Amino acid sequence: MKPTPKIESTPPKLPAQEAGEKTAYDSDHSEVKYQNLVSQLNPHFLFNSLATLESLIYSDQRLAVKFLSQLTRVYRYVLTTRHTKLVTLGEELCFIKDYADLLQTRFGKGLEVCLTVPEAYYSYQIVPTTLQILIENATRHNLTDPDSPLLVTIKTENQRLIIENNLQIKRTLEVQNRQGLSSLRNLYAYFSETALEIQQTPEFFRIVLPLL
Amino acid sequence: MKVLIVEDEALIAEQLQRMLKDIAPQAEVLDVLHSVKNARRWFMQNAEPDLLFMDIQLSDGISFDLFNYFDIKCPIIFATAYDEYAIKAFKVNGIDYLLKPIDEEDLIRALGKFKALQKNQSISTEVLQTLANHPSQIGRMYKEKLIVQHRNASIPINLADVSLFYLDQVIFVVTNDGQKYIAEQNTLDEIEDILNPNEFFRAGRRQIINQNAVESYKGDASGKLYVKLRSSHVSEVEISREKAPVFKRWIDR
Repeated sequence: MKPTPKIESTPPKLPAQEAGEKTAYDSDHSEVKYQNLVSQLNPHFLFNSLATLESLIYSDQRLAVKFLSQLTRVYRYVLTTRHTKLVTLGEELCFIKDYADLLQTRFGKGLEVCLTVPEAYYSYQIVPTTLQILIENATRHNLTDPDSPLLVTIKTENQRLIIENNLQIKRTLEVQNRQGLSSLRNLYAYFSETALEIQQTPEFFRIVLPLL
Repeated sequence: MKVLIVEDEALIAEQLQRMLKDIAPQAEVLDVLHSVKNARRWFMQNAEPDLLFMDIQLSDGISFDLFNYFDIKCPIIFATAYDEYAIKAFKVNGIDYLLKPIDEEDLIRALGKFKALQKNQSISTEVLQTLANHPSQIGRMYKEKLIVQHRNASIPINLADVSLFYLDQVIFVVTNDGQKYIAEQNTLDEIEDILNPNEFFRAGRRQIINQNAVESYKGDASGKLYVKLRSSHVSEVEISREKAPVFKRWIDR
């Protein structure tokens, strides 16, 4: 893919900020918002979902209607939170359920998304679409083969949010995007004293997010 | 028509099968493969299909990688969600590139291309078959008639009736019945080009003779040949020692 020009953004001004910090925030936030836009408009996600929907219209109308509702909610969430700094974890997880369902309908047994966050954590805050970006990264770079499924787990551990997947890297023609991850880290560094951690072993890839 | 589908998303593959059933009922889907790994295994165990439908990004890698393992010769119709790899697709034998969800019209067009390709291939097979059965037809067709100018009119002459072409400033065409015309061509090489070498023989720098016009021939001590023609115009045509064996092979076949 060609490098896309930076999409202009107008993050809400933070009153207590120094001028220099504000610039850093602007740039990081716009980067993540750019990421959101990419996920919002990710052509592979959109067109593959539409192709799946077409198939379901013939084979399973009930599921087609459900799939369409979920697709609609996913796109509406991405659009409405575009200018929002933070949402509750509950809201994000509700969106992620829809998003994960869409992916699971498409990939079948090749993907499993496991959400085990206790409700007590739902009022914590999170940057919108963080989890979607992380799940998309996981599916983009790893096998989603029914013979060797990708398992993404979202759970809590010591007051942190963990997003973990088994590592089974596949070859991809899409441009690797580590930048998305690093700008997400910068953004979390702005919001929290605790840094976003990336942990990688030969078998696992883990993101540890501070809960806000 | 035997079709193989390589597509990692089962529902999308199902839809393609439905569309094929509608548009090309004669298509027999041999298999649907969802990964590079399965496709590799399939190509190791099976003969190539007539047509291959192939997604590009698969659940375990990129379908183009198959071409590193197999010399796949069948036509391929690529299908992908997003138009990014079209150029690479055509470097292998991609005949079309479809975007998902696949539009019915696009699929019809792609299958049309495949049929056109198949037709061309079967025609060339047909031609080869004909040539195999009739080896004499191998190569080019020869003319049957020659147009000459005579008294401001164009006269078509059957080449079978020509006994001799000879060069004497211009090229004369002599027929079996003794008529003599002037050919439009300037050199005997040009004439020779349009003649069937089984019927006509370049006797030397100045003559081409028709096999049917040869009445008799005889040799002399030096190895030269003297050919007597039925035409009354030229009594004998001399053939050099070097050309004599070629003439003998030509006349005795």
